[in-house]
Order: sequence, then structure tokens, then C-alpha cells
Amino acid sequence: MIAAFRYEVRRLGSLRGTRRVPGVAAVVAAGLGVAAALAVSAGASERVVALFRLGGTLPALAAAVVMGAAASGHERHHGMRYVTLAVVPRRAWLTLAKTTCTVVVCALTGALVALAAALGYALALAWAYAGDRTLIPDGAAADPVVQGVAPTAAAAVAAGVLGLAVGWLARWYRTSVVVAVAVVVLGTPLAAGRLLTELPTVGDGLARAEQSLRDTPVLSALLNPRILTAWPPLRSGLHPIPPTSLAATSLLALVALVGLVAGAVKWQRG
Amino acid sequence: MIETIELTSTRRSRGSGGGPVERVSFDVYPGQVTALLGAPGSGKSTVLRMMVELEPCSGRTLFGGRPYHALRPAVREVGLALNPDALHPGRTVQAHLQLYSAAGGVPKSRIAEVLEVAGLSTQTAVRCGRLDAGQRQRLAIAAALIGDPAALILDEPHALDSHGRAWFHALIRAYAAQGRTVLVAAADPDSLAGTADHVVILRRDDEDGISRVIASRSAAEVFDERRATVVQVRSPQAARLAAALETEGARLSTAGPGALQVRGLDRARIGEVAHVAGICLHELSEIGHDDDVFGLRPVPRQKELLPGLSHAGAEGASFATVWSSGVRLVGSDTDTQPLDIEEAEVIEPAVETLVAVVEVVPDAPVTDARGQAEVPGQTAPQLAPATEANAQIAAPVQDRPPQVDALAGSEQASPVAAGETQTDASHSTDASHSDDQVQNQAEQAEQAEQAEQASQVLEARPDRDASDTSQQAQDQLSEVGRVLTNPPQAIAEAPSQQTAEAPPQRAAESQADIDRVAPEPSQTETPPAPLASRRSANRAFGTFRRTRIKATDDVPGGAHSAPVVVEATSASAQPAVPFTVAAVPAAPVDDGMTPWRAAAARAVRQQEQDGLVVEAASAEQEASA
Repeated sequence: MIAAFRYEVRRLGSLRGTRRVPGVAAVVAAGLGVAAALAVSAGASERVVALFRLGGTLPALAAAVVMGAAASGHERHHGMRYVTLAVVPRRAWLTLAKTTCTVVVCALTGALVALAAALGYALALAWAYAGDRTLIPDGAAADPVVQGVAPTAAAAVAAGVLGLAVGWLARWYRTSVVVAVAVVVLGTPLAAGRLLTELPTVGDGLARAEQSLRDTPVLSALLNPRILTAWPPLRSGLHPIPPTSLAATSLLALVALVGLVAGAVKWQRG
Repeated sequence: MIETIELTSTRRSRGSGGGPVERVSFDVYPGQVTALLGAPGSGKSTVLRMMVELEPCSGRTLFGGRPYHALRPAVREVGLALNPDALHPGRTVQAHLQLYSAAGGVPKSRIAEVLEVAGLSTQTAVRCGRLDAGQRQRLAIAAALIGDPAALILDEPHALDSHGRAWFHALIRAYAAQGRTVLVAAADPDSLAGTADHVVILRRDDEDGISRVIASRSAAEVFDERRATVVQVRSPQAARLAAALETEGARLSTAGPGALQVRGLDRARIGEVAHVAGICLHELSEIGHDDDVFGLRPVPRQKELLPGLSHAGAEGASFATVWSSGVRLVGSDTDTQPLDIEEAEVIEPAVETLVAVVEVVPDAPVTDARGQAEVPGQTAPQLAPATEANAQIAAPVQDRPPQVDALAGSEQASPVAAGETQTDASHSTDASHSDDQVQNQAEQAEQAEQAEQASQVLEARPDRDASDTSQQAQDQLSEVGRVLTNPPQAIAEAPSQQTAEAPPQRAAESQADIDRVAPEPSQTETPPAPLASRRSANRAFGTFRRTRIKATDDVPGGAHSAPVVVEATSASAQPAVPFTVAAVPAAPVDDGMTPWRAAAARAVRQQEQDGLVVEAASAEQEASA
């Protein structure tokens, strides 16, 4: 087991993509956060500002998918699969090591990207209004930083696990990564939004769950109050819902777990 | 010890690219180099992957009594080098090896050690995507060595050059000498002929397409069997003779009207059988060795790729045939049998080529290498008479300034040769001038030994004149050689300056060849040979079965010249092979190998015999550095 974890950590550490992908995602997210702040200062509509802030979470999910797929499909793409299996012949331990490392790395990636987006937004907003909070419109004030980190990290973990499963299941690596990113960024929020609309009981259940989470002393500081109920597009009847929302994250995690089981079975047999 | 017990491809593994295998069982013993031989596509790599559980299969493989997945850590127990291209192009060499060291708990200092062994110590920070094929092969071997494992399982290092192969063979020999287990899969039996102790032969059944182990025995036994003699028998009662020989267990193949090629019986036994059966024999000759007993030889290239070649020999002076390749024609009887292609490789497809093939007619007495004594009871090759057209073509051939092809080996003058015999300095300069491209220590060592052999031969002919050697050789070649060539205008384009430089070397080459096949020893009496002549004689001494002399562009800025190829072979070849060296020990069989690989394999064997492998490896490391 230790050999498998050592191998996986070394594998991740020796790839340039492990450093570049989260870094690029953080830079993009920070740029989108700055754009959202400038939109607020320019008097743009709430929807435009919301879209910019929504975009700030998407790089985290895309990066998580790429990193997850790199642990499986990318390895096979370069013929390293046999090397991995020859060095670590116990595939069950290797599967566990890959999943664990992917979860950890994707969580860190999501947190990093969310922090970058929040910091970009907050700093740009402070710069735009010269540090005078009284000038900031209502509802546009920067959220507590940590409130955006936890949901994004959770969504990134789900996205990373999905990428890992796609890498095991799909034959064409690059195509599968593109499809997985599209599914995570667009497909899941759309599906979650439709699910909430057509199944009000599910929506009510998610709302109650979110409220209970928010009532929890520790989690209340971590959850963004706009995750579900205060999201402007949803409140106006528009879809999709944010991919970092509880509904979208839950749906994505469900799909990712199913894929992970299927991919692990294939990996064990292959 | 590695025990492979009835490995059989499952339904899932049969679609994974490698050929399916069935009930593959063999043992790999410590202290030995075991070769897993098989033709390309016979499933060698599949078996290796099955052994380490990389491919689903039934059966099992035990490494010291434990399956591969039970080895902890596997890196320290078994070293694998199966696919040298299994690299991430973005990783550095050191990072790639750190994967292995991390999984095996190997200290990082070991990485530097194996990189030093593999000659990649200067490539540590280079990304794997920038390595060439040979360096990738070395990196794969270094990765296999990183855990200092008790067993090595290696696939054939295709991409290594001659030095790299010498290093590889020395490495696995040294590893086995330490009491460890080494298993090497290879398609070319000759590449491991001097290295392997035990041989497992995998052969694919033509009917069901499934590969099975057909032999597992000592290397000496296998390679002796590979070189089973092939005897050609000609009789007016061939049918009766065939029936009689089949009852003796011989394997027969027809070689033309009234001619049979017999495997499995020697000449004496065949003669006895014929005598008992009252069958008249017109020919009973040993024409060579069967090198394809186990079906290891790759499928020969198709005649259709070179149209018209099959009629070239039968028609004699078929000058309309444009032969721009290094194909050697082999036929048991030029009168009755169409020539067969033994080996083919395009040398310079875009260049008009002149090929001179001096054919050999059986049933003539043969002389030994010194041109003095007949070899009794041996098939005697003889040069066929030249036609008028041949003579017309042969004359310009003499004016060609050929240059020894680099494929035939380096011609660098060895210090041993220079010290033993007074040589013509100008000839030496000319010869070495053409060989600056290929210089290495292994070939120098090879030539040093060959020079000693040649000097012994030349001592029997001390009165040769270097200046006359060239012209005599050309004359004899033009008189007795039959030349297949492309239109003569290609010859007319030869730069005149080349004429003054290269003919001595070519003449020496030809002289050495002609001396061996000259029907009358008196005609071969020539003054002492120059160094070039000695070197050509050296090369013919069982080291290189075939020699090429190719005219190249020696004139700076001059037009490219048409290569001239003269085919030569040793005594172990068939009678119809152009040249025969009677007193030379049997040369390694190169059938089915490209000349480049054949030359490399022979050089490797020679290096191993000379014990210069370590020097070659160090030289390679210096070269890589």
C-alpha cells in the first residue's frame, strides 16, 4: 500500500501539469473575479455580475477533471500503464492510491481556484471603490472568502473523481477529457436545474438540507448563502444553477461514484 | 528461479495485440541467460507480459515460488524492460527513474548509479521526449536495474546500436554470472547465440495461429541443431532416392529436376543409403546449414519487389536488369534453377547502381584460402566464363573508384597489422580515407585479430607486388566475372579522379576474393599485398560473410557515383553463392537479416570473443557524454 501511495505521489509530483493546471485555473479565476468587481463598479446588472462570479468557479472544475483524468487515461495515453502495473502489481492498492491522491489534489485545486477568484473580486472591488465599503452597492459586497472555498472544493473533488473514471473507461484520452469537462461545467448544472424544476420534492429536500447545513455552527461559516436560494438566475426561473451548488455537486458526485466503480473494475481486470 | 506454468491466452487477452499463446511452460534458472526466441509475432512479448501479470491469462508464473503480485516490492525482485517507449515525454530521465525508486523504496543515490551503468549520466535532466530510441532503450534497462533485482526480464533491445548491444550482452552476462536470473526475449537467434545459456523457442502454428513452446534446451544444443547441414543430392532416380531417404528420417525438399536437398542426414549416410538402394548419384554435396530449423527466420522479402531478378542468373548477361539494391542471388544450379533472393536491402534507391555478381558454378575443384591446395570432397565453386557483354561492362568497372561500404565494417588500419607487415603507405592512406565515417574500438579490435589471421595467410605468398595486385584483380574479375549491371552510361559518369585513388582497394578486395576461388593456384601468385589487400582478406576470414565494395563520391563536389557491389561469401554458404572460402571457419548465418544488422551482430560476437565488451561500453558512454 505504501509503495502504491509513494508511486502515485511521485507520479503527480513529477508531472508539470500537476503544477501548471491549477496555476492556470487560479489565474483565470482571479481574472474573472476582477472582471466581476469591475462590472459591479460599472453599474452592470446583477445577472452579469453573477455570471462573472459563476465563471470564477468553472476553472476549478475543469482543472479537477484534467487532473483526475491524468491519473488514469493520461497514463495509458503515454504507455505508462504497464510501467505502473509492473512497479505496483497490486491493483487494488493502486486504485485506492489513485483515488485518494486525486481527491486530495482536486480539493486543493478547487480551494486554490476559489480563493483566487474571491481574492480577485475583493481586491478589485476595494480598488474600484477606493476602500470605502459604504459605496459598494447592496448585495455586491465580497462574501467571506471561506464561504466560496468549501463548495468549490467539494465540486472539484466530484469533478476529479469523474475525470478519473472517464480516464479508465474511455479509450480516447483527449476527447474524453473534453467531454468530461463539458459535462461537469454545463451538463450537470443543467441537469440539476431541470431536476429541481421538475421534481419539486427533490428541490425542497435539497433546500432543507442546505438550511440544516447552514444552521450547523461550523458549516455555516463555510457555505455561501447564495449557493442555492439566493442565486439570481434561479430565483428568476432561469437555468442552469451554479455548478458549485449543493444540487449540482450532489448530482455530479453521484455520477462520479458510479463511473469510479465501473472504471476501477475495468482497471482491475485490464 | 522463474517457473512459468502453462500460460495460455484467455479470450480477453487475445485481442490485445500480441499473438495468442497456449500452454507456455518453461523454467528460467539462476546463473544463466535464458533466451526466449521466436519469430516476430510469435508472442514473446505477450508471454513476458503474462509472466508479470500485465495481461490476463490462465496459468501462473512463480518468481522464487511466489507470483508476481506477491513480490514486495516488485522492483527489488524483478527488473522489467518490456517497452522502452513507455515514457512520459514531459518527465525528465531522473524523474522517470524516481517513479521506480519510490515504488521500490530504493534510495535516490541508486538512480545515479544505474544512469552511470546505462551511459545516461549526462542525460539526467533531459526530458524523456527528447531521448532517441537507443537512449530510451538504455533508460528502460536502467529502470530495470534500479532495484538491483534478483531477476531480469528484458525484451529484445531493438534500438541499440552495435556498441549498445555489446554493452547489453555484457551486462546480462555479468548479471547472470552473479547468480541472478536473466530472461531475454529476442527474434534474432544470432543476436543471442554467444550470450544465452538456455533457449526457449516459441513458434506460431500456421494452422491455428497459436504460439507454443517447441523447444527448451541448452543454447549449444539449439544452435547446433540450427546449423544442421543441408546436403544436396542429384540423381536420375530422384524419386527412389527420396523414398529411401525418407525412410531414414531425412527431411527432403526439391531443388530442381533430379535434385534434392536433404536435412537430417550427413553425406556419408546419404551415400550409404543410395548405395544400398542401388541408386546412382550425380551429386552429393554439402551446401550449407539449415538456419531455420525452428522457424525463427523472418519471412523473406518478396521477389515481386524486385521484378526480373529471378531470371537474371539464368540468362547470364542480363544487363537490362537494373539492380539498385544489395540483393544477393542464391541458386543451387544456375542452369536449372531460377535464382532465389536470399537477402534484400535497398542501398541507394535513387542512385543508379552497378552490381557485379561473380557467379559460381558447382562441380569444380576449390582451393583453400591460400589458393594452394584443393579441398577434397567438397563442392567446388568456379567462376563462370564471362560473355562478351560482360567484358564490355567489366572494363569500365575497373575504372570505377569504389569505396568499401561502411556496412561491411570499418577499414581502419590496425596497429597490429601495421606492425607485422610493411605496407604501401599510399594504399593505406587511400583505404583509411574512405573509412573515417566508421571508427570505433570494437571494430579496431576485430580488425586487429583479423589482421593477424591475414598476415599468416599472406606469409604464404610473400612475393606479391602491391602495385600489381590491383590490376591483376581487375583483370581476373573482368575475365571470369559475370556482371549484371545497369546501363553503362552510369559508369561513364564516374569522375576520373576517383580512378587514381580507389582502385587499389577495390582490386585488393577483389583479389582476395578471387584468390579463394581461383581454379589454378598459379594464377593467384602475386607479390605481397598492400594493407588494403590484407584488410580485405581479413574481412573475408569468416567474420563477414558478405563484402560490398561500393563506389562512392570521393571527389569533393563531384557528381554522385554509382555504387559497385561485389558479392562474396564464405565456405559455409551454398555452392551458388558467388565466392567461397574453403578454409575459413563457418561464418555466422545472416540469412533474413539486413546487412546492417548482420554486420552489427557479427561485430558484437567478435567483440565478445575478444573480451573487449567493457571497452566498447565505456567508449559508448564517452560517446553519449
